[in-house]
Amino acid sequence: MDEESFHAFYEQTARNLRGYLRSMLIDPAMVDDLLQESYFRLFNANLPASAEYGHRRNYLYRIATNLVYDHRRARRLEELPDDLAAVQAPATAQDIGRAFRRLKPKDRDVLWMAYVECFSHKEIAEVLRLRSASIRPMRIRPMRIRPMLARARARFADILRRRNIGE
Amino acid sequence: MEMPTPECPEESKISAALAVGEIPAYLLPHLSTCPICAAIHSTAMQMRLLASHLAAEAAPSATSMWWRVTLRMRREGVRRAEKPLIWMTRISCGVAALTAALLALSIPMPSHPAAEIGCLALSAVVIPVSIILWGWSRSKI
Repeated sequence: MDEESFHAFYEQTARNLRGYLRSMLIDPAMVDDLLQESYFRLFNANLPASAEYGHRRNYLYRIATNLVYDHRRARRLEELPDDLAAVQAPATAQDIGRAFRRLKPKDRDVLWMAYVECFSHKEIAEVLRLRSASIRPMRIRPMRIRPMLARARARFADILRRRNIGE
Repeated sequence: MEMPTPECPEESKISAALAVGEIPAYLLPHLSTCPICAAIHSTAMQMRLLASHLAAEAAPSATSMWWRVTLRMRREGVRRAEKPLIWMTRISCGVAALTAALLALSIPMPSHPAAEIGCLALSAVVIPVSIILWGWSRSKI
């Protein structure tokens, strides 16, 4: 990847990827570190020049997802404390963010990839397949993504309801 | 046994419309009556709101990221190139120290004390220098 194509790819992906990392990590200082590490590993992977944008983006998200999970395992991070008072409030981004962080990591992944990045089910399955800590990559079939998404939506809606956050 | 997830035939159209950012007019009545599609739409809107809020934070510039990535690539390249040299240094240090030790032990001690002192001095210099070089090579990897 030369400098020009890197710039173009970065401009298209960096903001959303950084947002994804920001939504996953408690420590904001780690966000830019993992962002840089993600692009470094993608650059180091030496994907063929003919690789499509979608393929590079999926690979980038796969790298970022694995980095987040490695970081969480290494730091044994705990969930954010539930410090919200149960008051009726419009759904501000911060309220949604707090509710989002209460979700399990897998639910966060699928919701972000489906509704922010608009990945297809097949793309989500590809990104998630190397998440497993087992030696063999866990194969997630695209057909399993739909029920995973439905469950994640239900849990997200439930958390928002319990916090009395309006829609 | 897991309950099957309820499906809606218009679900894929709603998802596709959300991906391009606009729900066509003909799907709006369906959206107001179908709980599955309404849930998808609601979740997507919440996620977009969250994403735009998070994306408001500035990311490093493309130029800065390119510079950092290429600099790191160069450093990794230098480290990889240095590795064989470092291992050769370690092996040489080990051989030199072993040789000095064997030399000190195997040479029949002449009666003259100067020769004894010489052998011991040789070992006293070679072995510590080897240890120092070994330590340096470990710090490089």
